[in-house]
Amino acid sequence: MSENSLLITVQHIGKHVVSYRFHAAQMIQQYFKKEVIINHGMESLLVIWPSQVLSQPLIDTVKSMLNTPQKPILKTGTAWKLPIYYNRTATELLAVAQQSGMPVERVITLHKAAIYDVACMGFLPGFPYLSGLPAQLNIARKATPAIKVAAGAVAIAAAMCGIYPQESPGGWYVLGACPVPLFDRERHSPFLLKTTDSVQFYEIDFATFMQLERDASRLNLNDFKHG
Amino acid sequence: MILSMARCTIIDAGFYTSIQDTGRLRARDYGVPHSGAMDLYSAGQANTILGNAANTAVLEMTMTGGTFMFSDPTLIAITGALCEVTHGQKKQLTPCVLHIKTGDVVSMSAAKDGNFMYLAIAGGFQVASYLDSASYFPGLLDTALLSKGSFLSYEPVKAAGTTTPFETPNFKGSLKAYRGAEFHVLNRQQQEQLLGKSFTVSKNWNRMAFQLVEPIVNDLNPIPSSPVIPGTVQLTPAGKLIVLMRDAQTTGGYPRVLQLTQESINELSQRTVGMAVDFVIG
Repeated sequence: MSENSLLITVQHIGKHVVSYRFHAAQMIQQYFKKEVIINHGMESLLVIWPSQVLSQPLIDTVKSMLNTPQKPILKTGTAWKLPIYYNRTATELLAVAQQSGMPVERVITLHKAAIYDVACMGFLPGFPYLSGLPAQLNIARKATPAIKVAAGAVAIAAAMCGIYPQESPGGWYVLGACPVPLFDRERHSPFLLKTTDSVQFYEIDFATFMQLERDASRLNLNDFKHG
Repeated sequence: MILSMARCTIIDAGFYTSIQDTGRLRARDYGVPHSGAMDLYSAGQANTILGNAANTAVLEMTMTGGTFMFSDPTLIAITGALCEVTHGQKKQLTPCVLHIKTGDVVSMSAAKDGNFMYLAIAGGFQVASYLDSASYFPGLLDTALLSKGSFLSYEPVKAAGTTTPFETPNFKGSLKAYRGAEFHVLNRQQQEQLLGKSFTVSKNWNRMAFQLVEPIVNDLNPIPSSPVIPGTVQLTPAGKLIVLMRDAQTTGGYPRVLQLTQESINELSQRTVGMAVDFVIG
């Protein structure tokens, strides 16, 4: 893609795309170790060599690694249950209800019933791309992105769900707010989620949300794991 | 034991002044952006002339320079966008190297052309680092955004060393680029527009991206969220070209029509609002 990077697109479309992408990334990282950094996309990954220029031998080495076509077996990560506060009068939630032709209550029921997989980490530090959004909630990205989306916003668009780790511009529709920080550099594990984890949301009321948000820096993360 | 370190006090921070090095390589697979100096050429030039290592942290100032007071002798270099530097009775233009004595105050004007100015110090500033980089990014390393009254520590330099002369920099021509991952899905006319037309730097620019004014008719579908890096040129549904810069996100859903070379990212970072931009492959 540039002087020092190689873009690899996964040809296995469908639900195995994440497994193949993740497996390819692991193989490449193990071979090149600290020589490369990996930038994931949903169906592709970018291999970056920060201190050397891309060459044919490098491309050939990567190609030979990817010529092993066995189906990768992906170890499943942590199963999370994350709290979410749905503000039933928020304009974006109402907009989703309108666009999908369902009452707000139905949107919420569908959204919290689903089990999501962390298909990719990217965009901002700690931002998860969650697959598994119910088809009825598949709406397009906003035509014009919002200038400010709040930290903790749980938002949907383009068949995905995501959680904003910090305030940022964003083009997705916000359904609710999650008070557990997705990224906290002071925490033992700064990034809450990783690819292969799963997420299910459970609804909390506003008072609980405020309390969790106040305690955000000293939450016991084990409280938000299944089992 | 208390170590006595020299202090550089920020009397006036200028505008959006942050600490930057060559960027953050770790945790990109968790969505951590690259960051680093917008004009790596100029930042590198300031370090080189002082004999610093290439990834030594420097101060990056945006459009307006700052005023600094130094507690102990050292050597500093100021590079990047052209500006006037006042040091005691002496005024000079950048790029320049200054021999600092105890208590000296250095004051910089607004940028006369370009956007970003760099101040490097012999031996580097003693700064905090996160994920192996001292570069400021909101939420990752908030202390690396400087404000009035704050100070930075450095090791004083006793004898002034010799410095090599500045090289005359780069070019002012077309920005060199590679074909982007979705360049081939543009039709012939769109490709010709992209490479034949002259564009203008819009008011929407920052460390994340520079948006260009003139639209290109866009009928392309969005792509699945895919890797993007500094220098990736995206085409939005509204037909706007967005050139991603050092603080850009790691993924994007807009077609990637071009990829700037490293040299061209540095060059674009110094083009001011209203200046022309055109692209050439190769």
